[in-house]
Amino acid sequence: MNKILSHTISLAFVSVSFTLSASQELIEKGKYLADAADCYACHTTDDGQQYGGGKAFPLPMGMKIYSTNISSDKTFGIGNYTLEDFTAALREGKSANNGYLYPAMPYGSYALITDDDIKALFAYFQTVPAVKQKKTDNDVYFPANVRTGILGWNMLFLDDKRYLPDSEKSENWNRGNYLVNSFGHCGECHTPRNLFMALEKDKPFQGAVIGSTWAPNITAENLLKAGWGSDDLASLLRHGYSDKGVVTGEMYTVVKHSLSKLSEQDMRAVTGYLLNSDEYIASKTPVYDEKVITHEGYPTYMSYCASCHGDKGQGKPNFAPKMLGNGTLMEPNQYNVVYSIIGGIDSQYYNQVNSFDAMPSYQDKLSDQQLLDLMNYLSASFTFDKKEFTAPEIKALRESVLESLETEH
Amino acid sequence: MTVMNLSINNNIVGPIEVDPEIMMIEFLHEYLNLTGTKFGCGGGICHACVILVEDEQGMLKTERTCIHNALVFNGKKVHTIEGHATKDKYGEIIALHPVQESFSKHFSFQCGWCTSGFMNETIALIQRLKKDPIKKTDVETTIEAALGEHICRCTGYVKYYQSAKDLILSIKGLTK
Amino acid sequence: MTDLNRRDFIKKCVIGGVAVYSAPLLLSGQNAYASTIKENLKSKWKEEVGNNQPAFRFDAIEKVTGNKIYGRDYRAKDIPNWPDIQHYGFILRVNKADKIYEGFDLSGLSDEIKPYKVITEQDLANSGLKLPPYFGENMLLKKGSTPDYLGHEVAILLFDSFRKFKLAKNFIQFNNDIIQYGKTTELVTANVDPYASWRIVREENSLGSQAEDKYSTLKNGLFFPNYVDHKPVWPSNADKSGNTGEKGIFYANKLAEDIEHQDWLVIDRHFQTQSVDPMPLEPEAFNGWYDKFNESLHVVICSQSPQDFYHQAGEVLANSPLTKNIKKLIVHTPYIGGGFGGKDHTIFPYYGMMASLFATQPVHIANDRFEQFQSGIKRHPYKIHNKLAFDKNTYKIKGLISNMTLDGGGRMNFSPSVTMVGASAIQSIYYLPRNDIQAWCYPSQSPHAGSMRGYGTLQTMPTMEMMISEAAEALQVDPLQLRRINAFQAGQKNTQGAIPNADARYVEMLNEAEQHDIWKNRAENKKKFEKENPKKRYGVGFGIATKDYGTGADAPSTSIEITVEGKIIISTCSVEMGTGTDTSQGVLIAKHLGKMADNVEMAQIQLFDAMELIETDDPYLMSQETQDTMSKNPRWTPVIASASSASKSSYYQSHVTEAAAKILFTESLFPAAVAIWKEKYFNSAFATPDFTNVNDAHWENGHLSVMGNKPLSFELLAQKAHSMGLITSVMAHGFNRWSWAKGTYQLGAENKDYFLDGVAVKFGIGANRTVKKQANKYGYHVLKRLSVSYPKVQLNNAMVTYYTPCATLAEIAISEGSGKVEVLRTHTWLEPGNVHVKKLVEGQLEGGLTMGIGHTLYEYLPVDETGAGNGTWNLNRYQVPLAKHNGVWNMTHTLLPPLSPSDPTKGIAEVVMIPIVSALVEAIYQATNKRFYHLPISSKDIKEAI
Repeated sequence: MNKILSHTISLAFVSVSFTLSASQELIEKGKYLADAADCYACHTTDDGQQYGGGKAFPLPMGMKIYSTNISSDKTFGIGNYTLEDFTAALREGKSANNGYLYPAMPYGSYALITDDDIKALFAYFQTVPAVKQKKTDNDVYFPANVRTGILGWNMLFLDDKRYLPDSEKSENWNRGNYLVNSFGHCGECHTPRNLFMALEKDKPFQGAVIGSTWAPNITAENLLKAGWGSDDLASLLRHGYSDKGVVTGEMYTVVKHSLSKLSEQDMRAVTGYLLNSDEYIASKTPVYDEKVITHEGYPTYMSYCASCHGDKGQGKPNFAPKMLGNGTLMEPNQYNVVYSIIGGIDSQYYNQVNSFDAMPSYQDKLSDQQLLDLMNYLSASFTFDKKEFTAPEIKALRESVLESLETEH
Repeated sequence: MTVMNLSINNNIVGPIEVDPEIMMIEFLHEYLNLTGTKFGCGGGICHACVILVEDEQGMLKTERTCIHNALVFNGKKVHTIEGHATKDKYGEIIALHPVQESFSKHFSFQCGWCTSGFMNETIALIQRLKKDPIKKTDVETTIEAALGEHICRCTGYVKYYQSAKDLILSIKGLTK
Repeated sequence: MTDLNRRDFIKKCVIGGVAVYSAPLLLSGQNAYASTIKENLKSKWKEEVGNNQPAFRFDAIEKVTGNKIYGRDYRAKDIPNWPDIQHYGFILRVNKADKIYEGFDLSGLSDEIKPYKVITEQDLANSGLKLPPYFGENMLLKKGSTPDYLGHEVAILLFDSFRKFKLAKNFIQFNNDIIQYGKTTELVTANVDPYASWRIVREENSLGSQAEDKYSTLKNGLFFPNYVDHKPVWPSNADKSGNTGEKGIFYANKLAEDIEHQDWLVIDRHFQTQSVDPMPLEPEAFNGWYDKFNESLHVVICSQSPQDFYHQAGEVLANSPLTKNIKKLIVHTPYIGGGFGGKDHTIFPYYGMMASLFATQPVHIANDRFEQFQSGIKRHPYKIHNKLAFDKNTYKIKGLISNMTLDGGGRMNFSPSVTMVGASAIQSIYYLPRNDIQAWCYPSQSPHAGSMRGYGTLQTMPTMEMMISEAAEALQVDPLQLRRINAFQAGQKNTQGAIPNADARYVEMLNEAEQHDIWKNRAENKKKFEKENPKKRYGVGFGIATKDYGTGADAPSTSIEITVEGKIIISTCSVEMGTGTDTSQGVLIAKHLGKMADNVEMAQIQLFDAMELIETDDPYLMSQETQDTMSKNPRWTPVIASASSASKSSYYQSHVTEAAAKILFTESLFPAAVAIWKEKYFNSAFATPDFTNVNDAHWENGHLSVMGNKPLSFELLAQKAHSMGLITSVMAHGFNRWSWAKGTYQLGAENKDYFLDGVAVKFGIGANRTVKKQANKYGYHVLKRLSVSYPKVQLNNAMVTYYTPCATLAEIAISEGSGKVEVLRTHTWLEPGNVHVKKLVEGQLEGGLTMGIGHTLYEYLPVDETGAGNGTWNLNRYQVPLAKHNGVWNMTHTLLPPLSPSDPTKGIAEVVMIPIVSALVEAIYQATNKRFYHLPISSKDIKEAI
């Protein structure tokens, strides 16, 4: 009897796994796209289960909103969603559970996602482990608590259109464009916003203040000017680390949870789109000039920076980034350079073979003059355009860094 | 080349010419033959190489010597492991510093390579607590925060932490 | 420059014309800021606290005051008779192993910072200089050839100032334009045979373990495979009455069939462990000076095995025309900053030695951490496939089949013995009636793997525990009960067919663990914890292990000298790497001599020449016949000296130290006391003293008393012994092959039996001139060895028989979001036998457990070209456990009390890191419901599993 029973069970298994395998591909695809969309970053807390939501997003004036539970739990998550509910949430920010979502959810970007891809995402989210975790109430007050207000915002700024390929451009470029602007929602940080916090679509990727850091200008023009090549960009997005420097702040988690998982092919598409080229682009590095050792900033650089970043800015592989040709040094806005020096950089752990120790803060060590000299030294020795900064410029940057460090703590 | 002058363990050192590529730990080892400060990782991670820098108010702060060059310490007053014990007029060590005594009693270390770093950090911590006492219930977390980045490969930290805890609780005025 | 002073350097041995000397720890204080320590402060260490426990480590004050005591601290100006000038060396290494090495280009270095000498393979070839055969060929890689491994050394650059060295190193170290590579080739190691293969087959007698085995390694011997395509192929012919191999295969096949067909529960699992760096906090360093005028080479090494260096280096020098004029090799062996096996038989000092031969002044070479990762010894990564069978009714283990492969890296180091020890250890604390354990080690492009802490057992033993835990679940039996059912009983045989020495107190440990809060209340604790911490998962795991200590050819030496002032000076051959050997040796004699030592000299080798011992053959390979013949020579011993490794000092070194102390007491201090009592406190003229039985004597507060006689101070006795011309110094040598050699010696008119195979003594200053004249050139009298009995060579097949058990309970929490493991509490049980110094044992235990946590959860090096050999590894990527990882405030332990005061003082340094491994793996399973079979288990692995 037992034998027969077990036989039947195994048969049943076969049939189940057969139907599964048909959709397995779809689920796998959905998982890949969910990673590409970095759903994890916002919908998982540091100590919570995957997709359980509850992560806090500070708003001005001390208000906070919390991300929703997007696990497959039928009570607290989106296990009861239909494909239509799911689509509406993704494209219009309309949640079947929570009404209109705050635009912290990048539905403006996700609106570009194709129907097929949404189906895959939906299939995947139905399979993620259910998390029994109630949505934390948003800590907001009037007028921000009136969610229907968002509807008005949506009507003004939401462009609910699917991605349309540019027939002038290559397939690779189009794929890159689609990934960067829909799933990647890169513009949400790298494109400046207007007074109503809507993206300024005429200034795509020109850089914006995001939290306490500057989301740099990632226009192709600027990247190429700074000497970024295809390999550098791919390495940066995959490992958080490249010959042109490293990522810091929020971008660290984006790389860790999302970009590092892109396929080789998609990574090529993304870098091709960002550099606006179907050709392989080689990295460009300025020539180090021994004469810079007479620069006023040289002693400061040698005192505090050289042991990790190299006496000639050569860095140490897998340990500390190069300064020679560093992309951040060539970003038009030097906020991040000052931020790194004054605020330091937290340690980063990607995985067992890729992680970085913290960079210390030098706020207590550097006078305004030393910081100015150092900034000018970095520019003079390691960049193409060798910009010169003025004392007021650097002082202002330092103050604004200190201000944002203050709000962080 | 810059000319260095500094005070190490209350001895005036210098003038000595030093290149900007020379790290403080290398200066201590190769220029002064003071090898009590230990090289562990060379990247500011293991904290074996920390020494104490004294500010104008006499407050001590630890600094890593493998990621800062010697010039950073030009004109400063610094203290290393060689300077903590009491010596007689012939330079012989006649008594230990309380932290040295405590680490010894607790058998906190085995190979001893991390001891210099742990000691300087603990000395700075105790001085800080003298100024700003903490609650007894905060002693453990305070120790964790102060010593947490130091790497020890032999004894699993337990006897360092116990030693620091006993010391903090036994010295009057560090806890309130 | 004066010639060597005989007081400073004592001749060790002559190897091919080169006399090797070992130099004591010498400091020339005038240059260092570090100060000497006042005598009364120095002696503070032995102020007794509690029962015969010292106040400090013997070396505590030196260590907390920053004294120059470590190898890396030494500079030329610190060492007497060396020039004050210090040169520096840099070793250039490749970071690829799959391309032809085409040379290097240093033209980018400005003239000002160029090396004054670049040593290449050509220089070595011209001078006939080679590595000792133990390390293989290609010391420096030849242009036009493929590197043997990542990090293969290609040149040594010599600089005449630190500044030049430093600037040049900054330019060279991570510069991809320095070394030139040609076309891609196959890895060299793809065409190299395995380093070792072992097979351990056993089947117990149908009457049980006590009866003679049907087949076992101890009884039947070893057999070996052929290598085909660089893989082992075992004999296929199975024959119950054939030769060793055929028989072995017969029993192995039978076990395989039974496991396949019997109605047993079979746990069939694959396991994998990683490459690990011992990460001793002191990276390796060297200093050396070739004194051409005096035809001497001086070196300072950081090594756990200086004895080995003496021999091998001497041979290297003797065989080169360049060094044919070198008459003396003087070796300084200071303290080392951590070893963990990473400094045992390390190749590093040989590069230093070569550099010294070409340098014009003393040369210092010191690895930075990147270089240490690139070139230092690693722990062997394992792949293990186990099939463990249980009787479904009795829950008894029926048999084990295990197949393990190890990655030995690019040079063969201790791989053969690690492979063997790992294989022989897999049984852990369990009795296996039948086993077929195969293990082989293959070469790879990784840095070489060697004698790292655990020696293979850390990788194999936890797999047994994991399978036991899994079996308990499958059989629905309490996991501790399943362990009790299968725990080894005293007198049973191990997988090799040998009977482990000493009682097996595993059940006692299991019973104690069962009653511990972490275990007993684990269900309630889990509920409570998870309620209070909704985003965390709670789990408890138990692990137990038993680790052998020793190597099967251990040969410690100790000398104890009593000065006329009443000081005790101990000298041993052990190296102090942090474990506290100096302290424990200094302490343990108090039992016999009434006080701890005043001075403990470590790493002494040459001193023991006074025993005039000779060795001839490899102790593992010699025949019984050789041993029988050779042992008739009263100066012969199987081994003169062995390395400081394998958790050895507390048992082996102590054995000879204690034996020497006993001789001193019995032959000298006690007779001296009797003489004083007789002279001063007894009516000797009228009666025969009744207090002459040495067994009645007792030490109390440093004074000796017997049967109520006036207590006499050690100092007085020392003085008396000297004035009477009694023995005041004893030097002893022992040999252990899983049992001690026993010798009968002529001492005066008596014959004495000692578990020693060499004894030499010195007599006090009052000894008469005739006696003194009979001393050998070292000032010692070698006691005549009338006979000796060595353990039979067949005991080599036992592989190991001394074990120390250890068990750990771990309570952990896992954060659901990050998958991070937080160790909440651990409790460890250790059976150390008698303990010399409790705090040293505790420190080992706490440190070992922490290292075990690193091995289980954090430490990882890839074995491909992205691994440590590429020279870009440091602690930013290689996560060693920190205090936040090990539950630092909640790490507790129980040291099982000894069964009797005569229990051995067991080796514990390795076993303490083992049970935590399987305890954590099981706790993670209890928390996540997911079993892991690879190490380390990263937070990412766990997160994905939740």
